[in-house]
Amino acid sequence: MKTDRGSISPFGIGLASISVATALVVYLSGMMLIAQHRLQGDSDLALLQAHQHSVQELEYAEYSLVQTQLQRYFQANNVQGLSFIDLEVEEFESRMRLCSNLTLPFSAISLPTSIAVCAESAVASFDPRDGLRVQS
Amino acid sequence: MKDGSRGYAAIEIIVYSILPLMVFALVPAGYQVIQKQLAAESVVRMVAREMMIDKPENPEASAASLANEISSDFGYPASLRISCLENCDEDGGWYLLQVNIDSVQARKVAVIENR
Repeated sequence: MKTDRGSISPFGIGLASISVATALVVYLSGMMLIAQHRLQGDSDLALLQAHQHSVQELEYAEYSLVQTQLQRYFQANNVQGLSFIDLEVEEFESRMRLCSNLTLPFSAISLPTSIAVCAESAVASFDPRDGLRVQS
Repeated sequence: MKDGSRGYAAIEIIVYSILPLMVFALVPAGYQVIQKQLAAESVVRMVAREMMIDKPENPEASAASLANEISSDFGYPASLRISCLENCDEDGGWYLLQVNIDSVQARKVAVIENR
């Protein structure tokens, strides 16, 4: 090197950018992972409770009863931001797919501020007429 | 190198090298927090599920022992708090479970009906 003139700014800016990007990726991926995990837990427990309740009341799963209990559970568990619920109820089996809007901390800069996180659950019970398990 | 530029170089090294390294150092700490939060979510979910299926006679004692058992599998000591949300009697009720692992917290509702 002929002289020691110059600056390490380009190197520093590059390193700073990479470190901020890494921290941001870890933060956002962690946030999404936790939100998905939480939604999956809420979905499983809500459907289990709603299906159990309907089977105890009527000996089979009934759509409106399962739906009412789901809403009750979500309210009690303070589940917010649900954007989509697809519920299928058969006699001894209930299935649900639901999505929630996760708000990202980007409102200051004009980037999309929410992302959909989805979960799917299924519950099956015994048929009391023949005692066979329909599906595990 | 002149004295002035030497001082400037020192500031550049501090601002552009040490600060990014400090940000990098936060990444493992962030992973730890995420791991603990996921563990807490899993513990509370498994405890609530077990309670809803087994319908124990004594939900408080049963939830605490389940939480200890499950959290020891994860390798994190967890503390559980259980409180009644509604209709808690000998038939069952709606219980709020709250699991703490260090500073992170997870909560779920467990419903026991027609015990």
